[in-house]
Order: sequence, then C-alpha cells, then structure tokens
Amino acid sequence: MGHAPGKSRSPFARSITALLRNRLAAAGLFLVVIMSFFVTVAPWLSPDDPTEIRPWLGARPPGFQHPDCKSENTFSVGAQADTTQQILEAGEIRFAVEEGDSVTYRVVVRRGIIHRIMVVEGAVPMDTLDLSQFSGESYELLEEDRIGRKLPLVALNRGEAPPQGIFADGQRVIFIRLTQVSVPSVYDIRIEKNLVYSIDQDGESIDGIVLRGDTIKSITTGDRELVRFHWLGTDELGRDVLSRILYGGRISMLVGITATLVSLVIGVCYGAAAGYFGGRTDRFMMSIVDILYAIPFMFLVIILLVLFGRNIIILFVALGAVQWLTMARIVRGQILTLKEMEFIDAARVCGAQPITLIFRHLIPNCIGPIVIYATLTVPVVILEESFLAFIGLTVQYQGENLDSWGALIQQGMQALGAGGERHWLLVWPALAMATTLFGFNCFGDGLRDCLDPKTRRVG
Amino acid sequence: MDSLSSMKDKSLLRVRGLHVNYRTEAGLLRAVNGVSFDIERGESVAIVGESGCGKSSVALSLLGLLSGRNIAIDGRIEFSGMDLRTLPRHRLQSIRGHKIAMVFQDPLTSLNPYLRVGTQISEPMRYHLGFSKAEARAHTIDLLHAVGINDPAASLKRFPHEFSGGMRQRTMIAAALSCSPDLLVADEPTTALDVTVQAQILDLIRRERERREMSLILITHDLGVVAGLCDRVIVMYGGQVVEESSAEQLYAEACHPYTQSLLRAIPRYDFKHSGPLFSLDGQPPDLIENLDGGCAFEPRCEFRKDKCVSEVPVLRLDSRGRKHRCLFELDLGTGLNVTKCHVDESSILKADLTDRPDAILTVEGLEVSYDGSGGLWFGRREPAVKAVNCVSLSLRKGETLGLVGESGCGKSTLARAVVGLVGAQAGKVSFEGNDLLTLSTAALRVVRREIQLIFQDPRSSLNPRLKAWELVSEPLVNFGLAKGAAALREAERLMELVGLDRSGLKRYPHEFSGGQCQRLGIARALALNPKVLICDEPVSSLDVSIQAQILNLLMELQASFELSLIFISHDLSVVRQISDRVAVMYQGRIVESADAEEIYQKPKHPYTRALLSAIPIPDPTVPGIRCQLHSPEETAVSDRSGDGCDFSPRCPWTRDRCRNEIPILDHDGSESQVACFFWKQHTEDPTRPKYPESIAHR
Amino acid sequence: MGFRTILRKLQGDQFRYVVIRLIQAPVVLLLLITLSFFLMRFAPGGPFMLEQRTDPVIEQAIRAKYLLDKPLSYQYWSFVKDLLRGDLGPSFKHKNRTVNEIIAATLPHSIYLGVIATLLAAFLGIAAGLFSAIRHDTSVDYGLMACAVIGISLPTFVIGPLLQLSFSIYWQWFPLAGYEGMAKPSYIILPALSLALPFAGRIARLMRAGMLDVLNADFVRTARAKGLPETIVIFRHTIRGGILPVVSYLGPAIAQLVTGSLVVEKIFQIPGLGREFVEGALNRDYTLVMGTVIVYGALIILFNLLSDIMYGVLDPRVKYV
Repeated sequence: MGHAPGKSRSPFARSITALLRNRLAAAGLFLVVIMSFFVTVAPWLSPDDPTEIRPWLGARPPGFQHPDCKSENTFSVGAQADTTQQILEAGEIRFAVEEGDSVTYRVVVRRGIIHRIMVVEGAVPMDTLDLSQFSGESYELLEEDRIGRKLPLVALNRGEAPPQGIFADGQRVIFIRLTQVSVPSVYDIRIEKNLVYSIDQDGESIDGIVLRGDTIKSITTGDRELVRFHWLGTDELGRDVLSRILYGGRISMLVGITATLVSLVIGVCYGAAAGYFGGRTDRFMMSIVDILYAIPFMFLVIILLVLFGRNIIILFVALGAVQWLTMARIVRGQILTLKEMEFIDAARVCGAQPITLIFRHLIPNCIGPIVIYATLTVPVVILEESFLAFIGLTVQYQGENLDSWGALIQQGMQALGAGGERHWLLVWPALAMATTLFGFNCFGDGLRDCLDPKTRRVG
Repeated sequence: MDSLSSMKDKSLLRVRGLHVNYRTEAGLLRAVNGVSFDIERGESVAIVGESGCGKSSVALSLLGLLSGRNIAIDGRIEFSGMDLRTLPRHRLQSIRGHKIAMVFQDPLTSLNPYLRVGTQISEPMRYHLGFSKAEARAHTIDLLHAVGINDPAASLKRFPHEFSGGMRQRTMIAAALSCSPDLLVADEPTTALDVTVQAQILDLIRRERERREMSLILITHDLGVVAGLCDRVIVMYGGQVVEESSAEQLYAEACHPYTQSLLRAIPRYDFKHSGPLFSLDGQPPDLIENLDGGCAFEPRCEFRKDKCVSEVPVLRLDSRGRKHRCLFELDLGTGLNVTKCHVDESSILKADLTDRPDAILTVEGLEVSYDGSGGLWFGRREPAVKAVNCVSLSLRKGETLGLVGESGCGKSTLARAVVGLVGAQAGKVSFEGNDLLTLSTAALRVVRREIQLIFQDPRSSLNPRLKAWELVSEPLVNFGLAKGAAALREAERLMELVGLDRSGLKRYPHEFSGGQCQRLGIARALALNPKVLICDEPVSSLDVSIQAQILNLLMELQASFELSLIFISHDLSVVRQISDRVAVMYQGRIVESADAEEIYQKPKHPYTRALLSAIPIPDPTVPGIRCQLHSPEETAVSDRSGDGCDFSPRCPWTRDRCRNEIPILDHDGSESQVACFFWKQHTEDPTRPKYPESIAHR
Repeated sequence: MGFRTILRKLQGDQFRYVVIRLIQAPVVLLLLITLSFFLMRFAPGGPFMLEQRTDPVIEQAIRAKYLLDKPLSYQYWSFVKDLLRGDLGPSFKHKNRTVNEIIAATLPHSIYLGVIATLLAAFLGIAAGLFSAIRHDTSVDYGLMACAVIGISLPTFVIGPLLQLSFSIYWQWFPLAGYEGMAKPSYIILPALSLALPFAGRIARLMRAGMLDVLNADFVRTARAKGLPETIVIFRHTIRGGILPVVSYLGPAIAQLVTGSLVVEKIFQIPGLGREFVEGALNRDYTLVMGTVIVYGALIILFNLLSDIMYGVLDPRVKYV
C-alpha cells in the first residue's frame, strides 16, 4: 500500500467518511438529527402551549384555524391584561364577539318511540323539542363533553317515533347540545406596556370585561387578523396536536437517551470487568447475565411502576437496568477480542500501567461497538416507555403526567371514534414516533456496517 | 515447439487474456491483467507469486467462483474445448467438482462446520456420479483411507472441528478427488499447515496425481513447495505472468529479474548465507494505480535501464525456450550458486567452549500451564494444559538463540512467560542476577525495560488508533523518559533507525504496509535501549522479499546495539540465517539444542531430523528426503501420554523405553543437548538406513 | 423427532450444554419468583395495606388469611410450597375466583394468539431475510430491508389501530375487535398480524445478516467448487448456519411477544391473560399479578431453553462456557 498521498486520516475520520457514504446510515442520521432538533427547540418553535385547553373547539382536523386567544381573556383598565402574549404586544386590538348560549337536552327512546325529553340542567321534562325554531346549530354531545356529529334541525315529539338522522342504529339515549347565537358586539382595547389603557364596547367605554374564548369570532389588530393555525389539528380538549407531539417527543427522547446512558454505564462497567479479568470471574459474571436474560423484565418494570409510583427517575433506572445485559455481553466480547490482539501485550511489555492500558488501548478500541449498540438501544427504550404509557402507566414528574408519544398514541386511539373520524390524533403521533425510531434503527444499522469490520465487504 | 494443432489436442485447459478487476472504494483494482497459459493433460503446473499478485484470482476465476457486482472478468477459459465463461450455469456446475476440483488454503474455514465429514466428501459423488447413499459411503471410506485418515468408517460421522489441521486438509483433498477430476486446482494447500504436515500433504497430492494421471495447478507463494511437485512454473507479478518455464530451467537459469530475486531471497536451511540476505527493495506495485507504461517490476529491478520506464514488455519466448516478460535477455544464472560457495565449513569448529560470553538471560525448569475451560457450574473441567514444560535455556550476551518448533509447541508461550506476560507455575527466569518470576510488579517493570518483545502480526501489534510517533515513543512516555516534542524527536530518530521515512511519523498503522508495520514494531522495541530482544515469529506473516529486509534489519541492529536475540520461528530456514545457537521445541519441551551449524548438519533428535527433512528445498536438483513420521497427524497436546517421550507416538524409532520414561536433555560433552535415549544409535550406526524406507512410503 | 431422540443424537459437549441448560431453567424461575415476591412485600403502601379503614377484627382476619401475621420467611416458604402444589391463591380483587381459575380461563386464548403470531413472524421474517440475502445488494434486498426496519420501528400498538383503521373500518375485511375462539379465525388475523410484524422485521434482519455471514464463508465457496446446484448450496450448506442468529433470538423474542400481547389483547379486546395482567397491575390485584408473572416467566424460560437446545443441536461446535 505504501504512503497514500495526501493527508493522513485517523480511523475515526475514516469511519465518519464511511458512515456518510452509507446512504442508509446518512438518511437515519438525518432523521435523527432533524427530530432531535425539533424536539429540543420545541419551546421556541412550538406555535402553542401543549397544555392550553380550549374545550369549545374539541377535536379539529389538521389545518383548522381560529382566533388566537385564551379560554378566558381578562381586561380591566389600568391593570395587567391576562391574555396571550401576541395580544399583549399588539397595542390596539379589536375583538368581534358573539355571545353564544347552549342548552343540552337528553332524549331517550324506548320501544321505537321517544320516551322522554328533558333539559339536562335542572332535569326539566319537555313534550316537544323543535330544533328548527332556534337560530343556532345542534350537535350530539358525547362523553366528557365532547362534541359529536352535527344533527339536522328537526322536531322531536314525545310518544312519537324519532325523525330520521337523530338516533344512530341501536342508540337509545342521545344528548343534544343546542347552541344559540345572540347579537355580536365589538370590543376595541388599547394596551400599552402590558397595561390596559382603554376598553370600548361598541364605541362605549367600559372598565373591564372578561372575553370567553368560545365567544370570540375574530381578533384584529390594524389590518392583521390574529389567528391560531393548527397544522396537525387539535385534540378533543382543543390542544394543538403539533405542540403536543413536539413536547411528547421531548419526554420520549429524554427517557430513551437517559435510560440508554444508564444501561451504558452499567453494561460497560460490568462487561469490561468480566472481559478484563477473564477466566473464572468472567464465566461467573456471564452466567449471571445468562440467567437474567431469561427474566421477563418488562413485567417487573410494570410492577415496579405500579408499586413505587410512576416517577420518571424510577423509569430511567428500571428501563436502563433492563437494557444493560446485551451491552455487557457486547463490551465483554469486545474486550476479550482486544485482549487477544498483540498490541495489548505490546503495551504491557512497553511498561504500560493498567490505567494506560484501559484508557489508552482498550476503551478507545471498544467505542465502535458501544456506540452502535447504544444507538440501537435508544429506539428500544423509546418503544418500551411508550408501551408503558400505552397501557396506562404514563410517566409522572412531581405528580404531573408527562404525555410522551406513547401516551399521545393511546389518547389518539381512545378518541379515534367508531369510524376512525379523528384519525389525525392517532396518525401524526404514530408517524412522529415511527420516523424517529426508523431514523435511529437505520443509523445504528448503518453504523454497524461502517464500524464493524466483520461485516465490511469489498466495494 | 509443437505445431499449433497438436498443441490444441494435448491441452486440457487454455486460458487466454484473462483479466480480473475489482471495483473498490479506492478505485479499480486490476488483480489479473491479461494472463494466458495452457495446461496439458497430466501436466502439473505451479503458479507462483507473492501475496496480491493475482494468483488466487486466477484460480478462482477458472471455476467461475468469482462473482459479484464489484468484480469484472474478461478473457477466455477453455476446458476440453468448452469456454467455461460462456457455458450455461448448469453445465458449468456439472464440470465443477467433477472434471475440475479445487482444494483451498484454509481447511478450517473451507469445510462446512455444520455438516459431517462424510456428507461433505460424498456430496460430489452423489450429485455428479449419481451414487446411491451406500455406494457413496463405500467410496468415501476408500477415499478417506487413500488420503491417510485412520479409522475412516468412524471418521465419516465426525465434524470438521474434531479434526486437526492436517486431517481437515486431507478431507478437503478427499472431497476434491471424489469424482476423479481431470484437473485439480490447489490454492495454497499447505500454507496454513505445519512443515511436517505440509510434507505429508504434498506427498499425498503427488502420489494421487501420479496414480490418477490428473493435471494439477498448484497455486503457491513458496518456490520450495513447487520444486519436487511441478513440471512447469508460471511466475506472476503485479497481475501479469512474468516468466513461464519448466521447473528445472527456472531453478537453474531464471531469466526474469523478479524470479531471480525471489529465488535469491528465499533463505535455505541447507546452507548459510554469509553477510546480509539478498533482499528485494521496495513494495509490490499498487494495482489500483494505473499501470502507466513501462515494466511493472521496473521500480524494484536492479537491472533497470531507461527503456524499462517507457516501454511495456510483452511475454515472449527467448532463445532457450523460456517465456518471460522482460525487455532484455538477461543472463542471470541463479543467485543460489553464488551464495552456495559461501557456506562456512569452518563454522562448526567455532563451537568450542572457550571464549563464550556469559549468559545474560537464563531460564531454568520453567513451567507454564493454561487452565482448562469449563467447570464453573456442573461441567467437566478440562485438564490444565502444560504449554511449557520444564524448559531450561540460556542466552549469551550478543548472540542469537533460535527457538524452533511447530505451531502449538509452546514457543510463543515461553517468550511471553520470559517477559512476564503470562504467569509461570514453576522455574526461574534470571536476568542479570534477578529472578524475574519473584520480583515485585514495580521491580519487574523496571527490568522489563531491558527485555523487549517483537510480535508476529505486525498489524495487530500496533494500536490502530495511535499515530506512528505515538506508538514508537510509547515506551518512553510510559517510563516518563520523554514527552511531547522530545518524544516526537525520539520517535523520529527511532524510525530513521529502522529505515522508515520521517514523513510517516504522523500516520496511522493502517497506512503502512506489513513490512513497514513490523519496522514500527522494532522501533518501539528499541525505544528503551533493551539488552535482550525476543522476536516472536517476526517475519512469518510477510512475503519472502519483505522477510529478507526485516531479517537484515534485525541483524544490523543486533550488531550495532550489541543486542542479544531470541528468535522464535517455525521456519528452520529463516532461523538458520540469523541464529548462533538453535533450540528445538516439541510439545512444551526442548528436545534438542546445539550450535546452529551443528544442528543443521548433524541433527540428533529424530524430531529435528524429521523437521529438517520435511522442509521443501527450492531446488529440484536436491533430492527431497521425505521422512514420514509414524503417526500421520500431529497429536493433540491434551492427548499425549503422561509418561514416556512426547514424541514417541510419531517417532520412527520408538522403543519400549521411550513409551515409559521421559528423556531429559542430555549434554553430550559439548554445548549441544538432546532429549533422546537412542540418538547415538540411530545417527551413528552405519548399518541403519538413515530414514527407514518402510516409513518413507507407507 | 422426539426430544429423547434429539438428546441421544447429541454427543459430548453438545449433550453437556443441553443438560446444563435444563438444570439452569428452574433456578431462573425460582429467582424470578423470589424477586417478584419480595418486590411485592417491600413496596411502599404495600399490597396488603388495606385501602379503606376496616374493622380491626376483619383486618386481623385478612392479615391471617394472607399470612401477614407470620414472619417473612414463613410467608415465602408457604408461598413457594403452594406454588409447588400448583396453587396460586385467591384473587385479591375478584372475590370469588382463584388466580388458577382466571389463568385457566384466559391463558388458552393468549397461547392461541401467541402461536399464530409466532408462526406468522417466523414465516414472514425467515422468508424475507433469506430472499434478501440471496439477492444481496439489489433493489429487492433494499426494499425488503426498508420494510423490515419500518416494521421494527412501528410498535405493536401503532400497527394494531392502523390495521383496524384500514382493514376493518375502511375495507371491512376483518372484524374490528373481539374474539370468537378458534371457530372464527378471522377474528385472530389482525391481532396476530399486529403482534407479528415487528418480530417479522427483526427476524428478517437477523436472518439476512446470518445468511450473508455464511454465504461469504469459505465453505460456501467450497460447496460451489464442488459443482453443487445453488439450491443445495443454500439449503444444505448455508441455512443451518444462517438461521442460528434467529434461533438465539427466539428466547428474547418470546419475552417481547408476550409483552406485546398485553397491548394487542387490549386493543382487540381479546379476553387473554395479558389483559388480566394489565388490569390486575393497575387495580393492584397482587395475587393475580404474581400468578401471571410466574406463568409468563415460566413460558419465557421454557422458550429460552428451547432456543438454547435448538442452538446446541444446530451447531455441533457449541460448548458450554
């Protein structure tokens, strides 16, 4: 071979080149970097606070937009306004408000005829309910106050068969929410330095007002309309799905990477010790690993989380403790192979102390397989965490639920609807997670192809 | 020269303009670059060349075994009139293994570990000859018998990993011979084997070839192996044939400078070169670079002229019937005759006891054993293996002690035990009055500065993540003798010492060739100015031409630094060139030690004699004396009997006493020692044949 | 081939390897039982701390019933003794049922699902891996492997609902959820598929890697040099070595399959043991959880054992270290 012309390249630099040349690995790396970037900068990038609830919106498909405000916006002259940052900074704002009103009725059918009609609030029974006489719209009300399908404006009479389109097949009970619209009004508010300067209601000055999100029809400042655009729609509590995915990704990635680090530390120490000492110590230590391999750790993790609480710290440790076994095996194998290499003997003959031996000769040559396996462990841990979230063991931190991708998928599945109407609640979190896992898996496999000489082939 | 038509009738295989190109990341690798040759029926031809010359690619492409997206093959390969390259797949398959069979280099990896030996041998017969199971079995037993495997019926049921290296290669040969092919292609069939086993395998191939009148293509890097076996020799260099002539002619009057250099570079055990060995400078050509005009060998050729740079030589027939690829008709003679007359006949006289310097390093009764594996839970514990068994030797100041033995004889373990890399169970290693085995770790570390080790595999002995200067100066840094810039300066000095350019200082090991890596290893060993250098097979993984460079370097360094060397090798020829004294090891014990000249000219122990007679000599005029050992196979270390001479199962002269009593190393009054009860009888009794005939040809 | 025949065919090291694995299995199970037992006992808020304030007399009776008034070692031993008799005790939440009854009622469904899923995964994975290795470096290879990585990256609980969305809701080929036993196999196809796909992906990759290793080995070149047809080269010379990574994955795969079945049974509303376990865990039905863990643990250990034995049978060089 001789001296190749040009600059000398270290084994590390060569691996990087090989990695970038491997299309699969490069694609995986790209996906991982992109996802990690979005997830890391989520607070700056995110259009919305993932915990901001807008119950009046309900689940809306991707692309939905509405006036950008909080569910309650409080303004009183001379005081600080409680509203969104954008409104605070706007200076002069105009709110178009339609005061809506809604009534919920409960209709029960027995033996094919309407058995009972009543107003839910106060349980007032009625004989006739003519939906068409109101100026508003009527919707089916589902569990947990979620808005269901839109109903035709027909009349219902007690003792008669219900008209078409109200009851679904086999449905006996229906909650109908009727919304009425009142006269719209316009509020002009001036805000300076976060303090409310003046409030005009339809041209008359007032001292204070609380504007409810569900009544606001539009918000304008100058010629600009303030709208909140939901790229991926909203969930049934009106939370922005995109923000929830970004923030959920933070949890998933955090768990994935931290638990991998935990497994890395345990596995590397254990495997390196077994490999370094060798002989009987090695055989004993590896027998323990063999035995532990046969234990279904996910069950123990579930029990652990149920019994000791779903604290994120416990999760890190538990998942890391499940994953270290393979890492230990890999590191041990690598150390044993290295120990056979003559350069280790050469270093000892050259008077290298054990510290030099380990940190200058052994560990640097183990890094390849460790990195490969760590890369492949991250997606496994992310999967395991989302699995736990999916069966209801969402991680918590200081008693608060942290919705990871698994939790989002689980909620999305719950809210899917019988005909899969709200598919975006399931599809987008699943896609985000699958993309990330795909990236990690591709990257890890590509790394293995580049760094592991055993699989390296000519050409 | 025959007419073309009659030649066509006689030739079994015709290769015309064969090109094999590999697409690699670095560019197109032209492994084979226009190779043409013929093989006649019943002829045996050797293709010889150093690693990377394209000889294996030729062999594999003959059978169409090179395939893949990154390989491009061009040219014609005609076998009995059929062009193998254009033949449909099923026809090609009916020729492979049936008409043309192949034996590969490494019998361990070339046999399927998951299938029984019997299945693997009988497969071709079942498929090509349509044998029934019973027929195939009967034939397989015959074959196994023919290739010299004991108890063939039981061996059928065994797996390859239960066989020794020699038995595996015999199995490979049996499978190749199973359909009585017209042509056997043997790709380095003995390279992975010990020299005594190599002799047996070569003998087997020769015998079977003669018996079956089959043609043979022997691919090898070892001109010694060729000598007694092949009629014709094709020498390859840089993907091209550089010379082709009959074996006698080639050894007597090689006409291409490369062939001649190769012949001269091979160390011969039957005589000692005086002065430095002939060595071929430079490196083989990088086949990835475009061969831009001129002779491929030109940069290394000692006869090069201006014309060689510009004109591409073609393979041509010269006046004496030799084909060669040289622009000139050089009359080189053979390098061998030149050096042969330098054999120092008086060297034996030098072996008198006076005027010997004191021993610098002595080993007494050293024992090293490895723990058996298994036994942690319930398993049977394998018995400990004594790799080194009661070994005593001494190394004098400034001398070179050769330590010779076959693989697994414990020579490397001995070296490692001496420098403290493996613990010893018993014995003494004294160096300048200190017993190294009883020293504390710290004290040992200081003494170790004086004893350095050079390793067998130059690549694996260098940490791939360190730069050359870091590697070379590492001992200095470890002992706090130099740091930073000072270490770099020292590294520069050391690299110059071993003949490496300072431009290599900041390069990584993978950017050096094998020979250069070994130089780095030597530079590192010299960093601490040691008094003793232990070389553990330092040249066995290198090509012949590079081997000589390294040996010369070692001899030079020894002279200028007054080093005492222990030179460990399996190759007796190499050991002879460099050693003052030689010790022969067999299964953990030293069986003979004497002055180098004495041991080569008057070997006493039967094992030494077997070893010597097994070495192939690159000269067909020297009759190969083939001493067959009793047991066809090297006995596994664990199988050897507890009492009695370790060599007794294989020794042609074994008597009752040998089986019951362990012979000890016996001084015969001079410096030489032998561990044999009867060496006097069978070396001095003139009525006994030198090697029993009955054993020579079983 | 019966188990005994297999054992008889093994020789020396292989036999020793298998025997040691056989002895190891119960030890592992005991370890698992002990681990989960003490995990339960030392949990804060403990399993047997009653949630509602009860009558001291009743509490005493309950404590006596669950042996909580006895020392820990006694509790452990009586638990192990009951276990050896096959008695897993009464359920903590289902007042009228024993854990044995619950397991007997639900386990067969889970096994049915598991067997179908395993067969599916093995078939799909091995076929894809084999094909991909033979067509190494072609678009077929890349396509199959991209599918495999996607399969690995999609968790069971994503595949499940997606299959439901497409095959039950959109095309309506299969029922959405529910379980009708073996009589109506259409109910089991989607759950088995969603359980099997991630494993098929993993098996495909292992199979491909194993086959490529073997296909590049010298002995395959030898087989080709013997003039054997490619089918014989592949099926006799390479599959045996190539499938080894898949075989050694069998043990861990079953563990993951069981874990996956927890969610699949939930998604498709299959009345299996997995659902019982999740509900039991969330409801803190400790005896049921213990019982389930033991059953699943035994299953997983059994499959690890089978995988080890198969490995020993397939690879004559195996040696117990």
